[in-house]
Amino acid sequence: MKCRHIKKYLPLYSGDDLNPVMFWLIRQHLKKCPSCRIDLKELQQTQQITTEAIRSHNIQINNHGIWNEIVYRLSHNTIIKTKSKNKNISFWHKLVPGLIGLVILVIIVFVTEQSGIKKPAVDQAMHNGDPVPVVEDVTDPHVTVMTFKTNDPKITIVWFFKDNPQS
Amino acid sequence: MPSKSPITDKRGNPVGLNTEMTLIPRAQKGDKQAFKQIVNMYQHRVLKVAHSLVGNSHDAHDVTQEVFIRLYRFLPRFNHNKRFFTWLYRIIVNASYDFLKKENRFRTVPLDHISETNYSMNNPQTMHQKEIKGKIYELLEALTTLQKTAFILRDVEGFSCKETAKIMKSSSGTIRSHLSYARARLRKLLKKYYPELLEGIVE
Repeated sequence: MKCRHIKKYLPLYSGDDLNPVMFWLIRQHLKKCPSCRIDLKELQQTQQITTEAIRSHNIQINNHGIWNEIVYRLSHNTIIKTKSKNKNISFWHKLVPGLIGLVILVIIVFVTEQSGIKKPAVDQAMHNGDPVPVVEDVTDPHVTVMTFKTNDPKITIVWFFKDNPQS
Repeated sequence: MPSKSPITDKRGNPVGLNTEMTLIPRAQKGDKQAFKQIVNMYQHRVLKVAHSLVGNSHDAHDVTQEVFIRLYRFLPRFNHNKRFFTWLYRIIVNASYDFLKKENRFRTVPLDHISETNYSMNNPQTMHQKEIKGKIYELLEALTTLQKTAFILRDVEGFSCKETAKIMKSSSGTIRSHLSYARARLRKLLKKYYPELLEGIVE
């Protein structure tokens, strides 16, 4: 492996966070590469300085202590609400989409019933057994043609009216 | 004054009769004295981690209070099969992130913001240990929040990569990536602003 590859893994090598194979490969490389050894020492030194500085840093706790503040906040209910797995919330989370789905279904059924998807009047009349008149367009404006369909699809009664179908 | 158990384990966790093992079940049942003892036991540690994450001690105090209030609320839900310490750190990280988001500070400080004059102490003899600590905290601000959290948990607090990933709700690979960038960046910054601290490293 080349130095530029090794240098990428040095931060993990210094913290002992590599798998054994990579660890061995880097150790072999370090034995013969002084430049990478210096890099590693710098990394280790940095790690040592920073961790020691943070570990030894003492922060003074307020004179009144954290406990008093906690008691005050708990008693005055000044708690920031966080997302929690509340059983009631999860129940509503399940129920609300179901209710919305049900409402949408009812609306679809209602609209379908109200719109033209109903059975046509002719079919309804045929179902009852009555002949149904159907006015057809004819090029002559004085002639009206009415076709009566019956239950038997083979039989159709056609009436021709001139000027006035009522006459 | 906060009472501190004299006997501690490797990580500084109190060991003895009043440990988390005995105090938590009592606090879960509503024993305020037990909860107070938990607060006294962990407040310094929580404050220190919060300070590293939010950047200043005043905000760290607010976050620490929030952490213990959340702890009080969520303690009845704590599962004894889990490690209390990891669970507490998870609350600290979440509370700090919420605070930073609320303050719109969930970002890094650009490098230009770190004034050159702050780092112009070329004489290492005059550079006090306390000053270095303060400056190290400023350097930490140059890292992203995730890099900083990974660095604090892994290198300073001594959690393993797996535990850090668990606390940060991430994968070990992602944590390694954050760690790698954080360590490399800190080295670069230290070399730039405090070359004297890294002097003398020769083959």
